Amino acid sequence: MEENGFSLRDRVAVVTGGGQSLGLEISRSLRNAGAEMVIAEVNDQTGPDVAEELEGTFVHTDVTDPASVRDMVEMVLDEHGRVDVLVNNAGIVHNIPSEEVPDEEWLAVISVNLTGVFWCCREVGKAMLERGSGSIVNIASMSGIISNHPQAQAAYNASKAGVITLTKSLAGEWASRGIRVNSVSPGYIRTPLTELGMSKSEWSEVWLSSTPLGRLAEPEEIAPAVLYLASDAASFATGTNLVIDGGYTSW
Amino acid sequence: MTVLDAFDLTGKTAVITGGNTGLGEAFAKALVEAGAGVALAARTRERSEAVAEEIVASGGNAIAVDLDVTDPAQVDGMLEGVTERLGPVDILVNNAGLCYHGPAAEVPLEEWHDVFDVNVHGLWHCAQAVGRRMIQNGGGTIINIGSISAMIVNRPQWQPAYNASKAAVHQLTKSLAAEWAPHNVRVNALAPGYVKTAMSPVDEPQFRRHWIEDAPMQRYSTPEELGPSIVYLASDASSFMTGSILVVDGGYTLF
Repeated sequence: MEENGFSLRDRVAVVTGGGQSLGLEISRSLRNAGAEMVIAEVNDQTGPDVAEELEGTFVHTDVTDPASVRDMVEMVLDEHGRVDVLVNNAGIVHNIPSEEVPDEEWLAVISVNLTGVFWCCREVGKAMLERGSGSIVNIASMSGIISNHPQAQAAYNASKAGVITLTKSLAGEWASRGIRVNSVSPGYIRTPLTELGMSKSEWSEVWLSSTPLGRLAEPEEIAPAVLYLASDAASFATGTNLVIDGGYTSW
Repeated sequence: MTVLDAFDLTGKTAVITGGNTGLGEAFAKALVEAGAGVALAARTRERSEAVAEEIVASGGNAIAVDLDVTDPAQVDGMLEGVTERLGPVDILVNNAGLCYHGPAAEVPLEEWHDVFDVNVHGLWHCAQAVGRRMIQNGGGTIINIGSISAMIVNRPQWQPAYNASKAAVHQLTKSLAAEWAPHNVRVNALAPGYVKTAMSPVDEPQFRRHWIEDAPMQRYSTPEELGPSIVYLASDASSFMTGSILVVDGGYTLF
């Protein structure tokens, strides 16, 4: 398969939230494709274990704190010399009716899902621009395109729409300087984030009947898309939002 | 099993319409590299045979098949021929397409019809015949070649029929995807930007200002550069993706 450019051998890849859930699957896949892995994770339990499993580096990172992001980049550059691939995966969701959303809940979701992506893109982007190459993959969501139902999650949806447009903005700014920036927008994936919803039949029935494929994605069905976009296989793709939703947004 | 295995197409059979030149030829070769056997289904047999021979000489599996996509009888014949020679079709790449440049007020009726006959009706014939068989066989993957022209209006040249035809391709992609998802037939589209082919004279100076300088990457693509995108869409690597339009355009549609 390496003839087709999917290999990441000798590339350094940073995955935020890389120690859990979809991020863990992405980290394993990029490692499988040959990358030197950096697990940038706020969870001090899972992060080091995953880094060890993948023979990579764990860096405690709070993406909502620009100082923490700067420290992460500094440490990665010290230890690995460069960053070739950045996957902005860290994200949270709250299901609260909008009229009842507390200020701090709104701010928390936007801080992790949108502002955190920007801090990481800005800091890693600087290092990539210096070398004139790099590939950034932001994990957005179909929620950036449609409004999920029956559950309420306005902050999440708005944050993911922000990620899609931030991706396009950075792609336009940095394309001529060798940096590609793309996003992946999954539909419902079987992760801890969707476990609660699947346990409530009034949610899961809507989710499944709204998805032409009639099921949730497994994390390993999303990770190859991240590899595709991160690698030279997608060398002419920038600013693209890759929707992987089992057909959800067709309806 | 590593993630790269998800992109593997060993043992699969693919049909590429217009598969003997330009993008189609590059797509065929990329699918062969990933392990598929390919049928180059096109009108000019000599050219198809030459490309098939080249693929076979380098160790791949390829056959040339006569096909004018505008003729439903030929589409049926192609499907039978390929099934007999290579096995059931797992992957269909609807790539055959044509484009005329000219101001809308001056487009001859026959040119308008030509474009829709090939780009829309021809694609429909192939998708319907092969899709029907995929449903019977338990599944398959269809990749339609759309275009950024379905999303933006190209300039400086006018090409109203082509642009409208590609918008039809994108929406047909979503329609078939939603309808055939329960049958395990995935349908997606690739929407390329400017690619250096006979159809797109990207090197001509009169096009540079808009075709190249308007693109954030400040360059065009080669057909080969798009090959891996077809492998991604054709393989299990995209098993949860259906009804999607994969835009690979050097950022053209961003500005």
